[in-house]
Amino acid sequence: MKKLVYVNKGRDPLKETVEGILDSRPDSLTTVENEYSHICMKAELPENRVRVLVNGGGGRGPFFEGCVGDGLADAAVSGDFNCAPNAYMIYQIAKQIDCGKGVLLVTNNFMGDYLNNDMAKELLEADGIPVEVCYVSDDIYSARGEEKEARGGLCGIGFILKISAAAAKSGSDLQEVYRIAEKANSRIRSLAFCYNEDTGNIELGNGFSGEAPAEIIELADADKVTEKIVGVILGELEIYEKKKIHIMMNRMLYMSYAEGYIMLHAAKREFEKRGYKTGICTAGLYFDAFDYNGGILSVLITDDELEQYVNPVNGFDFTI
Amino acid sequence: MDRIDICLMKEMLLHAADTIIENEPYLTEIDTVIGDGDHGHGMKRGFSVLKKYLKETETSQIDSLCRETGLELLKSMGGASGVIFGTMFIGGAGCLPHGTEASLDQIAEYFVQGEQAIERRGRTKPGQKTMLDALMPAVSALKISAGNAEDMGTAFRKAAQAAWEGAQQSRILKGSVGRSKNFKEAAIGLPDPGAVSVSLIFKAFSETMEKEEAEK
Repeated sequence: MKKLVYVNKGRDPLKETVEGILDSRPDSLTTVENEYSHICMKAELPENRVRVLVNGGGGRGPFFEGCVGDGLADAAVSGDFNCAPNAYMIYQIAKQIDCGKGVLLVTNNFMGDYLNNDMAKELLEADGIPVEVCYVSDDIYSARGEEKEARGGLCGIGFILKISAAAAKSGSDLQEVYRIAEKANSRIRSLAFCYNEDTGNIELGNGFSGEAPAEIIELADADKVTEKIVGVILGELEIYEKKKIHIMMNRMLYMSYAEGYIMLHAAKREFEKRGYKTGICTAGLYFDAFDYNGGILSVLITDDELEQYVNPVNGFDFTI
Repeated sequence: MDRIDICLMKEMLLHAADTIIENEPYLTEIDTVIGDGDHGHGMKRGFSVLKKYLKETETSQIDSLCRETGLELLKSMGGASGVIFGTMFIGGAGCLPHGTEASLDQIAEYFVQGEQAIERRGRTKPGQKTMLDALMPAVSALKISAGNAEDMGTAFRKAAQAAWEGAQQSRILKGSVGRSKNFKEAAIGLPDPGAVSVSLIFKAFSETMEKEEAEK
């Protein structure tokens, strides 16, 4: 992992990250002091409705500390770097934000996240709080040849957050919000691509923990690279009616602002060339999971029902 | 010795904490190759917090001590390890008496229930290159010793040996759950870091027991 330079010795860098986020949005966010996890939550919880709590490893871009706000999560609990937050804290914060309508926990589908959310769910149920968990599994190359349920999550969780928040806002009950979130999950795919400085190649589907890439392609024009990525993604979406595709281009730590938009533009053209209508197109730094010049292309293919929950949401320093 | 009292239980847990803390570099080293590299760090943090708790707690109930041990680990560690090692100590706490000491039967049943709780929560069985590959043989050894009415020292010595062998045997396994599944072939040759941690914990338990017997 990239060495952090601008940190204070003896102090928890992730705690200070949250403090900085609170400084930037003092009127809308608050935290709960806790030694072992990092919490951002809405200072005022709005209308009487289902709550959305996102959680996962910390320190990797706006996902997840920066994902709290209007149209996004009501609270975020993050653990240490690359480490799921503990079940007890997820449970406590969920309990704190619940207003009786229940809580949807949203997390990426990794072992640690699964175990902690599963346990948190059990603790919440024991207290009589309605709860469901959406395990986001959009990473095509994380479990090749396996069921989608076996896959991990990347940036698709951003789509899930805004869709669940919109569904909750519309007054749907927990089961309905959960159903919509799961429906969106089944229609989201993501693919990570990284430029390898040493070989000069583009690697597809690298894992967070140094798992080897699934595929290596030669460096070529942005359009060519995009054509390949879009081809892999569409190979999985053929089962759905060719309706509208929403595109999110995530830049990782070493990808420039310009390259992010160049790749977004290339992706939009490629999907349209293949007969898809494109919807909301965004580029930004959402999840800086890899220390590469690379990105993650995430897409959501909607139908009429999902489309009503999909609007651009401004997350303060990113738009989904 | 046929019973463990609360003081000895505390000593065993304290020594386990020290052993894990000392071995953090090794745990980190193997997890960096076949996992995401956070196992050693998480274990060290959890067992440091546990150590502080053990030094401060005044509980005289052996079931509370064991349950609280699990909760301290769960809260401070996070990640998969927090739930798994937390569950190892919480899952069977109901089998322990709400009193100052426990018999080998009760202790064996405590660890068996903890192991089964982990299998249920993780939807995992031994043989998939996880900590269960050490825990399962250790708890089976305890159960057999309890059945044969062996003394505590012998039971824990056998359990520690079984855990060590289980961890070593995990070297030949391919990972099929959690992160290690992504490293399938590459993981062969290295023991599972969680299994090594279990083996260290049981080694510490056995050493404490030996020391206690020597002093008597």
